[in-house]
Amino acid sequence: MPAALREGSELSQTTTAAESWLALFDRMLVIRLCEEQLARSHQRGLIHGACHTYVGEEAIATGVCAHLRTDDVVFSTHRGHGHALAKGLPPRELIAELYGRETGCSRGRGGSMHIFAPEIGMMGTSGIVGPCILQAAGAGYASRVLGLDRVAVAFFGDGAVNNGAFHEGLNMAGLWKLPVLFVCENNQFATEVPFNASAANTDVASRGASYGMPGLALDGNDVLGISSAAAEAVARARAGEGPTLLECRTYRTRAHAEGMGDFTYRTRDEVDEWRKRCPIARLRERIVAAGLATDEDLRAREASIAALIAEAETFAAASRPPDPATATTHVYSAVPAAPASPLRHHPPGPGTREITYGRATWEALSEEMARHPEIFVMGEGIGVRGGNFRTTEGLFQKYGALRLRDTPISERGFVGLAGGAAMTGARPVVDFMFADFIMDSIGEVVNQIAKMQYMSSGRLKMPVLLRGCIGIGHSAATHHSGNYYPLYAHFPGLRVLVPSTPYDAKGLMKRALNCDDPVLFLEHRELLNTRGPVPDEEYEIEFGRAVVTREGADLTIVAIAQMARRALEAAEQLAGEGISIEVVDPRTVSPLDTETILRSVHKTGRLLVVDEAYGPFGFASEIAAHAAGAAFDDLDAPVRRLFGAFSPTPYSPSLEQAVVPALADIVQAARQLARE
Amino acid sequence: MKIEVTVPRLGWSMEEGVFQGWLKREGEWVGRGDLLFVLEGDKAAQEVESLDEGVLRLPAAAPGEGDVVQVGQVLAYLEPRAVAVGTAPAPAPQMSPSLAPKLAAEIGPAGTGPQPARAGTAVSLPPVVPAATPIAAHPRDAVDSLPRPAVAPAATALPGARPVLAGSSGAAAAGRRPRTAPPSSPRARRIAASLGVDWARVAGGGPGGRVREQDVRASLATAAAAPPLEASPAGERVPLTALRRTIAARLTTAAAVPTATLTRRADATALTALRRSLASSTNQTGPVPGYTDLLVKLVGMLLPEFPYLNARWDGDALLLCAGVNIGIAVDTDAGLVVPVLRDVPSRSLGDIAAASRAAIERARANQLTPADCSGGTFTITNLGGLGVETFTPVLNPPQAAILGVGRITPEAVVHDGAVVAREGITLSLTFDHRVLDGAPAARFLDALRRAIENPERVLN
Repeated sequence: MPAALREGSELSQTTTAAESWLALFDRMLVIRLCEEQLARSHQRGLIHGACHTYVGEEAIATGVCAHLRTDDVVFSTHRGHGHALAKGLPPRELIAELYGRETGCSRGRGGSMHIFAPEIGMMGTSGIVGPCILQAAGAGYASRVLGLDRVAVAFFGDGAVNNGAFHEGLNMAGLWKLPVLFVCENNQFATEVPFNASAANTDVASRGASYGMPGLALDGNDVLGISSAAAEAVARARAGEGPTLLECRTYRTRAHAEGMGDFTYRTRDEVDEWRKRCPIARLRERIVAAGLATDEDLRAREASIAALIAEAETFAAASRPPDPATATTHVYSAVPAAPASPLRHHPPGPGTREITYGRATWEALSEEMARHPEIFVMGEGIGVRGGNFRTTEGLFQKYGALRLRDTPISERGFVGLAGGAAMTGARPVVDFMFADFIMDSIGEVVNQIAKMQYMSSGRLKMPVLLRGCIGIGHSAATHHSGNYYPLYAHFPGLRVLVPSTPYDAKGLMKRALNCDDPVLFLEHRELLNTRGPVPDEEYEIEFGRAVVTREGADLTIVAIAQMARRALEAAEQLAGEGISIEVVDPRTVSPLDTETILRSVHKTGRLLVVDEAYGPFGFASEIAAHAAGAAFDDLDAPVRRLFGAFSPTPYSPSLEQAVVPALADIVQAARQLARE
Repeated sequence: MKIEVTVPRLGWSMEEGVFQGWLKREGEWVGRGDLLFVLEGDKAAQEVESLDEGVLRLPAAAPGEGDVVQVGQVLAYLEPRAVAVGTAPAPAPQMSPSLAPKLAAEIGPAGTGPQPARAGTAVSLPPVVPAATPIAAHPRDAVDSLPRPAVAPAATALPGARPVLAGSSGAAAAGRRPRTAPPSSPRARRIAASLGVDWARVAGGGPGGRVREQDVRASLATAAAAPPLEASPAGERVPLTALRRTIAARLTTAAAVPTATLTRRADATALTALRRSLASSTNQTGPVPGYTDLLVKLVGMLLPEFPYLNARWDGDALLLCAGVNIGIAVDTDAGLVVPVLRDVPSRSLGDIAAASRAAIERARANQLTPADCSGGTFTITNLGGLGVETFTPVLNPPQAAILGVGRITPEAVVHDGAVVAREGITLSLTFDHRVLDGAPAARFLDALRRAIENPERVLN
């Protein structure tokens, strides 16, 4: 054994009282018996999906969670039943969840891999390896922002330590001294891949040094040793001394998932060997040897726990399945957060002061940061520098480094962190500079942030604002010009805002900073310096409210961002030819205000959708489909789409101009359609 | 398997007809080749022959005499000879419902339903009934059990000549697309329905002739501008017969063709003399040739020298017709019909007179077949018998020209410096100005004048 591996008995005898030992015994037994019940239920077909048991690893969750308060938060993995039970989840809610019942802890929305009980600090298990590390870091960051001494714990397997999330999460946690425990349950296989076949450095604990935090290697089957190490780590975290990495070496003695074969990649002898090191049996011997309880006492405790599990199973089996009518509830906040300022929808009249688009969003952020101390901003160069596009100019001086956080170039890391922070009470803003960079964090956005409210059956909020520049122009080339809003709008759970004027940008950003849903705020770079009227008084613009920016009779053009402006120019030009064009700017792609679009088509009978993004499966296609369906009898001509070339964005101006709908293209398409 | 009896297309542009009655009774055996029912098409009523056999079964909703029926509409069924009571017919193997549409899609274009006729080819389609050969389990069976695909032979419409607005007939305005209706936008159909306009009869100005909202509104404006349409006065509403609809459609079509009419007097003294001599001739076997017959012969002799008068506007080309087939306008109680006298130059005057007399008799007895009325290359219309002296004939598309003949009247003319009494006739030639210009038309007319003034060669 490595020198770092501690002999738990020494510590535990001095730090753990007899009651605690029995409590640890009980908790491990609850986990074991519950898992065995689930294995049995799985065999009987009562569990509809996957079931990953924690048998053999009970000491780790039990030993760590023994030192957590209810408000401390745990982020877990696909093998998370033990973490939930150790954090205090009643077994009946766990079994009911795996049975797919409405009394399950996730109300039947999650199953084995999405166990949520935020009321007791169980912040979810995950079907994706890695995000829990980032989310725990985010919870730690939120504790700092909110001034709480709350501690966050990430449990993860050895499979996660070769994932970027581990590196990015531990780096940021170490860098900012976040109150987090990173607990690696090294059970020696990532699913069925042996750890030594996937890691260049198999000493996980030693990696703590890379991130400026202590790394301890522990016997994962020794609950007393783990408990004492965790006690120390939790105390450090709570005291503001930063994170700790605990590597707990263990073994799962059941298959990766119930029903899967187990002896293609390991031997029965090896499994049997580890069964002999059962953490519960070991503690039992210690208790009896120390005279804290007799074997008979322990058998009585075991019987009462078995009865508890049996009762839990009966409860679960008797529970009703959820009402199918609720299948899509909790995709977004059920009760939208009230606006902090009056809602407005129509641009102000003449005489209003004019500011730039960039300044408008700056005002929105500045005003809302003053209103909400839980807002913090993360990004590259958004601290003392004030943002590449001056998005946070002067705010660092006002609010300090904690709320204006310059980040390492770890997009996945800080987006995952933002998600965890939002789950635990903060309101993070991630400033990407260029929205292209969001792609490096796409799993965190799509699999975690977008789905979190749903997975938690509406009990977690996800007020994350992801902002960045989009749009083609000024030879930004293909990594600084992506218009990917159709992609985000495809996923349930996200709000996608693409404003075209300073007025819209400010109102929508203020709404975004007051709502509880994750928002992508995408700013066309070519618009940042455009000016427009913005009233002095504060206001918000509701999502999903299109604006008719020009009234017309012959043809409707729908466009957003840069194309919304260009459509107005085209309309002006064609007015000279006697063609009267109505221009509709949806402002938000998700939700999309189809009603206003359809109303306009009802009026004009002709629809042209102009978009800078790619055509296939895109913004224009979506609107065309709506019109073809709901406005069929209104159409006097086929719907036309005009969109960007199906090509990465080229650099040379001559090439660049060729991939974006130009004013002349819009004019020509509109003229043709109007005459069709 | 029962066989559908459907409304056949009689002639090349028929869309609907008037059902005139059954020639067999309900439950009666119908053999192949038996005449089954009478249908009035564009031009004439026709006895329709059955190409299949079976027992005639009339559904409750079968049309009655005088009902307008659509081409392709099912009129009745022919059932196999009655099976003995208690003996169930052998069930046809069933195609799985999911497979059937797929097969339909695959074999749809071949062999199902009538093929669209091509413009310019005078195809007389047989009655639409599937082959009676009971090939069980052949994919076609599955197709036959499916709703018949709508037959939309748009190509049969006259090129560039879509009917323009006819009040609101209601049926088409409701939105169902008639078989040869023009393309139309959904909005146009909605607006048309709300305004009570039959969009299928609106001229579309969009791509491919698509009817758009503006076309519907424009048609309404045109209708409003037409004076006598407001507030129908009291009176009897006479339903349109198929013939009347055809005449209306053709004249409307003709109105879209740029035409000019040339008028010229001819000295008919010699012609009347010839007619008199023919009438008094003792070796006359057939009927006495009338003026129309004389003019048919004269025009028929001239036309080979004037190919552009014996021509058609054919979309992207001019078709100079190979034969000379002259239609004669015949007034009947039901309306105007134009039977065609074929290959005129090679026929004798007597032959022509006999043929025209027969055609006129058949026309007045409502017995003309579509074939009798098709294939004309030139038309002559003579209103002289009704006292009309001069008129403007309306073109009979797709023919390039029509000759109007007025009454022969005595007149005083200056001849060699002296006023003399002569017989005069007015010739009016209306021609398709796209096909030929005024001067060649005038030259034809002048040649005809000379022929009329020297008519003896008709006897050759």
